[in-house]
Amino acid sequence: MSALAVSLRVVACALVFVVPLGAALGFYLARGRGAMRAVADALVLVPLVLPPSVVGYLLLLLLGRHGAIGSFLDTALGVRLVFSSAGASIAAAAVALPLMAKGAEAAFARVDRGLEEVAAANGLPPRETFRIVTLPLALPGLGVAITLATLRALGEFGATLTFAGYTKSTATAPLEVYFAMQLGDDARALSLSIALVIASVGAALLLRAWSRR
Amino acid sequence: MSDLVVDARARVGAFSLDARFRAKPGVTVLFGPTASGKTLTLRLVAGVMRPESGSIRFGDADLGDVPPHARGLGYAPQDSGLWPHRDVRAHLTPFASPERSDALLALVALEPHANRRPNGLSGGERQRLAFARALARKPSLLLLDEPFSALDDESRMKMGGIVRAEAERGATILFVTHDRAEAERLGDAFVLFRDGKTEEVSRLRPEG
Repeated sequence: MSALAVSLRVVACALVFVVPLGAALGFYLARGRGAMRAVADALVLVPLVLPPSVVGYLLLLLLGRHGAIGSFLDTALGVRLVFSSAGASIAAAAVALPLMAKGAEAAFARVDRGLEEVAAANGLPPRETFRIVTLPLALPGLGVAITLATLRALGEFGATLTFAGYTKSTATAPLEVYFAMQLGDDARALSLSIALVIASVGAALLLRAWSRR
Repeated sequence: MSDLVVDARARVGAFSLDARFRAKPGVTVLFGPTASGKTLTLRLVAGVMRPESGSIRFGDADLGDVPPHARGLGYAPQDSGLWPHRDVRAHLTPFASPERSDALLALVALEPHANRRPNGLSGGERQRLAFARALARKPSLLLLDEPFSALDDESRMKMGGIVRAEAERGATILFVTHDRAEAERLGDAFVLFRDGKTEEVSRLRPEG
């Protein structure tokens, strides 16, 4: 069952970046204006609509050992992302970020601006208004976004395989299922599949309960 | 002790406002039919909306340069603007000490409901809470948009007394109401609104 442990580790590391970055991006998409916002809005969806293999390939071009940034990381810092658990996290983060950002955008867009205005007009500075009014009102929507992003990261297969490859430290549950099946280890493929089904259905139920609060 | 000088133009959809008046410390009642620009004027003074042109000055300050939270305001909007996720007392604690929050709750007779959420309050209770929140920072400029329209006569009189006390303290108060008797009871000066135009008068003329 170590594949599940790898999955959890990869997903947890991905979420550390995806949740704050996606929430901030979502806030900008919900409140920003002008051409910059339109560009960000278009770009943020790209990893979601591209085939995961293409996302993985683009990551390889950028962060691979001979990639634009990857070669620098390798020579200057000795960091190699390909075939590493960090690489798998980056692949998972890339495909999960759009869901987090779009979900957060919807969550912040639903907050009644009038409730923020009355806070400001009674003397609360912007930071306090965000803490006391905006964030708590957006929280249910942010919970939904986090859940969807987590599930997408957990189920990530194509970009991970293309970019991070199949090694001991990148063998997440979805990759294990595929290779177990290829190697004829049906029992292993089945037990991992069942575990993933349980995790997904559990998360979906949690999501439902959360959004009905 | 500061005068508020409004000289501002704004447009919302097909409606255009041209507001020009001076409000001295005390209660200035903004009076007029619905959709005549009273709420819009309060929103401009509160800074949650910007005028298209003109200026709003309070004392020596041009409020156009001042963000809403730094204008020294208390604001009770028409819909009360209560926060659904916070209980009654938590509407006051961001603005006032725990002791003052409790005193304010007592003042507007909401002590028994201190731990309730807004959706458990009546219309009158919601308005009294929005009013208490507007008072919390002892503002020098108090903006009240039909603050007591859902109150019964008795509590309306009582709340009116608090408004008068704020005026005696030296606050400059803009008070929007449709209620002629309430306007005459509380107002030191009056601004009549009609189709987005304003007229300063020293007393309300009889109906007609």
